[in-house]
Amino acid sequence: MMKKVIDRQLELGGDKPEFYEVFARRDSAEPLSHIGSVEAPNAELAEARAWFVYDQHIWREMCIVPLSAFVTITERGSKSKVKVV
Amino acid sequence: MAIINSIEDLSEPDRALRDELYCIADAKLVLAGWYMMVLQNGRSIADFTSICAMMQGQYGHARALYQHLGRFGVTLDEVEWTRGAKDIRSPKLLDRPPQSWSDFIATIFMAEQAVSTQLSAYRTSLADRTLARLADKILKESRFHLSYSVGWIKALRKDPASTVDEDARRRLVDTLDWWGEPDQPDAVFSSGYRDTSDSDLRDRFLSAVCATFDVPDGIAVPAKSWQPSIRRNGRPGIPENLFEKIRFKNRELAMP
Repeated sequence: MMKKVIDRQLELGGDKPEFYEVFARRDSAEPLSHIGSVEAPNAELAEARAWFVYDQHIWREMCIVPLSAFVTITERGSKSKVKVV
Repeated sequence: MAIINSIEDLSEPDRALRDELYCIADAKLVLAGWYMMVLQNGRSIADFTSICAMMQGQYGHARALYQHLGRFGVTLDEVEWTRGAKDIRSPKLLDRPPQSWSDFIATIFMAEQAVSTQLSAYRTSLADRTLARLADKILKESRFHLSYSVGWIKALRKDPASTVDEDARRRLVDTLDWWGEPDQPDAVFSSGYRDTSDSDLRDRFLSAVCATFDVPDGIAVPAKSWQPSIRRNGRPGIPENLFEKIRFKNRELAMP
């Protein structure tokens, strides 16, 4: 069986994986919770993909954060990463 | 607003509004068909899901606008089951199928931007509050359609061999066909249904496009035979082969 080779530039719009973490809440009483992540080459495409993929509720608020913007605390000095990218 | 049973009962502004809403709804119907046909080419699971959602969104918007046309004596039966290719009033922009992924992205950017620009002028309508609320809801949902195309345009541009700018320039000429010539009579605006004239909406559209693409100076469409009722130059209707692909086929499977 032939293994599918993904052309990252053509199929995903970028040459390396870039992840955005997605946070949302249904109403102002709920805490903003992590609901998943999307891969996208820029914030515009990440916004659209997050909105369409995580549409299980009518969200009052949704936001995305690039994974690269996270300042890790527990992983600092650790040999293994919690999220392998 | 009174319920109308026949087109002859409509005033001139109401008839013009009915025509324009038909054009917007048909643009969404054909755009939904484009998403349906391109769905299999989604570049990833997230892309597939996004195209699916945009298709569903466009069908929903089209049906909501068709429902609103009931105020002008139009029935869903007439809209969805009795019309042929020559009766569909979508923009010329959507007549020609996508030639590549890049052309598809450039075209949906132009189409989404054009339709959203036109609908933005109904949000404040005091003459038809239901339409104002409907336009507002559609615009909020369409924002993500625009993010999708803008995101892909930026991604495609990273490749030096990308043709997305040429594709956009070609499609822009067809998109401008939707507005015809500037400063022509505009009954929908002068009657207060729309808060902005067609000429100003054309300018607003071009400003929005300029944020993403370089628009050449003096770009214009020869408006030889532009008809406001179909928002097109030339003969009415869409190509037969496109109609065959986008028309509703199984009545028994359709939602009531």
